[in-house]
Amino acid sequence: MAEIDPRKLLEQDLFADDPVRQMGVIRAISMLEPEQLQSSGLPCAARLVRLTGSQGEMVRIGAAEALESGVPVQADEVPQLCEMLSGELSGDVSYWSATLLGRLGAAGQLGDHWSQAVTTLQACLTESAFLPARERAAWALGRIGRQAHEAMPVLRAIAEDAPPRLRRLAVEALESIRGVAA
Amino acid sequence: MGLFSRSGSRGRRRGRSRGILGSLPIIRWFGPLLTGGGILGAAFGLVTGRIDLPALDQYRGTTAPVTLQPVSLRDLGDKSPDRIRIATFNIRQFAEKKANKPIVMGRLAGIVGKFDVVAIQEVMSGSTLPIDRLVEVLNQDTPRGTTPRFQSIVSHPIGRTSHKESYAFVWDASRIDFIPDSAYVVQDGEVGSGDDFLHREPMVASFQVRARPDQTARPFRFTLITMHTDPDEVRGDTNTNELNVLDDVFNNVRAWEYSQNGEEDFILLGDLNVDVGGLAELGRIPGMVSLAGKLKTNVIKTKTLDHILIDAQTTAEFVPGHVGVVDMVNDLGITLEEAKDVSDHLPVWAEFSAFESGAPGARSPQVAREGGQPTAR
Repeated sequence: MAEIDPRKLLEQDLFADDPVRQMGVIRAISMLEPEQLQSSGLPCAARLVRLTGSQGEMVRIGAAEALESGVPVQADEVPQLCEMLSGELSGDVSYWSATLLGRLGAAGQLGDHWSQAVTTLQACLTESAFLPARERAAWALGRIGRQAHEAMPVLRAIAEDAPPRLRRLAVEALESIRGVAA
Repeated sequence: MGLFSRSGSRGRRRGRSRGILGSLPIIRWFGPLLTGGGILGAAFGLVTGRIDLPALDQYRGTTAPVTLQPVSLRDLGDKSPDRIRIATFNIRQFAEKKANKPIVMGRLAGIVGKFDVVAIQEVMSGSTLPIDRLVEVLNQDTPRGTTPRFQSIVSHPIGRTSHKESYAFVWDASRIDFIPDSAYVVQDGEVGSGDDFLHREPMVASFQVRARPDQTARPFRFTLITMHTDPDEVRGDTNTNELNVLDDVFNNVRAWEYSQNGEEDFILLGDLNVDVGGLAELGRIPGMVSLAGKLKTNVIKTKTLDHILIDAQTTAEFVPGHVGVVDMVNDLGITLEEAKDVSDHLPVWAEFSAFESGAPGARSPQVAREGGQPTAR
């Protein structure tokens, strides 16, 4: 039986609810090169982030692995990432939303959405119940760098009083925003 | 609950766990004192002229251009009694789903079976099932009533989020002995604690080549440290760059194993998510060499992500030039899509002598000149 073209499968099934089709989406994403995914114009990264909160274990694992492998993310996915981050659908969804915002920030690709991203990351940093998500929010603000200067008061407070690793990441984020470190 | 489970194709048994809980923290107490003392001593030596800096150049590996000639797996032939092959393989998302695909498992077994010890990353499902299945396939021709040829050990699932991975070692027990109770996961502190520096702490295990009855030379004994870094935590000159932590891990494991077992040979291998230039402080350990150097290790051959690292000053058993990747498309004769179903990484391998080389600590300048990419800058 001939396999369906991964690009067509993504167009057709990217937002499917059925776990079997979701697994097909994850496989299709893994088959395409980053340039092909980018040229598709589909919000694959944001969709994968949502799938990290899936009920299905294999879907969760597959989505997280694809995100870790570096699926390209685009500036127009920032509002969806911010929505998922503030909605705190699950710890993993928040963690990956923050991670992708940090990656976009490091690449200077938050576009017109950088202010929204910084505000949402600050909220996650102080309010999330999932410590790894708070840690990633601090990391992401550091990756955004100088554009995240409005987060400095929050980061200073975190650097004084928070779990040790989060404090360390807040200190590094402050240095990065000040331009002391990369 | 044990940290590990160990298996052959039959008679699975739970392995005893042994961490270095309590040992690394002790080493950490000594670290700052030793570092401070070392700095003072070095300053004194420089001021008084007792340290001859140019003379230290001999320990830097080499500045000569590296001419790496990777050897194709197809050209390797059968395993030699005088050499062993060690490999690292990130088997993308190695969970139950992949373990249920007979064609993929056959290809994986075909690759793993070519080596004597393979360090595997990205074992998922929170169980040993994928590795158990792989070992079953590897041992399917073992006659009933005989010891299974391939054996394995799998770490507990590791990670900060619900996305956790295990490490595994699979070895050919007809040629290699696993040193009993030598496996552990480096303890790096609870999630969020002050000691939590690594997303997926590395797994350590020691092995020894099986000596032949008539053999007089000492069989090669070595400790493997396998690691899968978090790609978001390997950049920048920061304390949270995992490559700036792995040098301490390498040195602490080395100090611990040497003090406890007299171990001299350490090989750090895995998916480090950086090329040689990105190895940071890990790459600045004196004598450190990436044997695969600049070889591209992702399946589409655009990036160097995976490494086999040795300290060439102490591990002289590496056979210069005998290193490579398994190019799944060309070596196995499959399509790129089929290769991607196996993994998005290529296995990286290197050959070592089956015998301990010369005097302990003997340096192997040839390694740096002909065998790999010096990592020191």
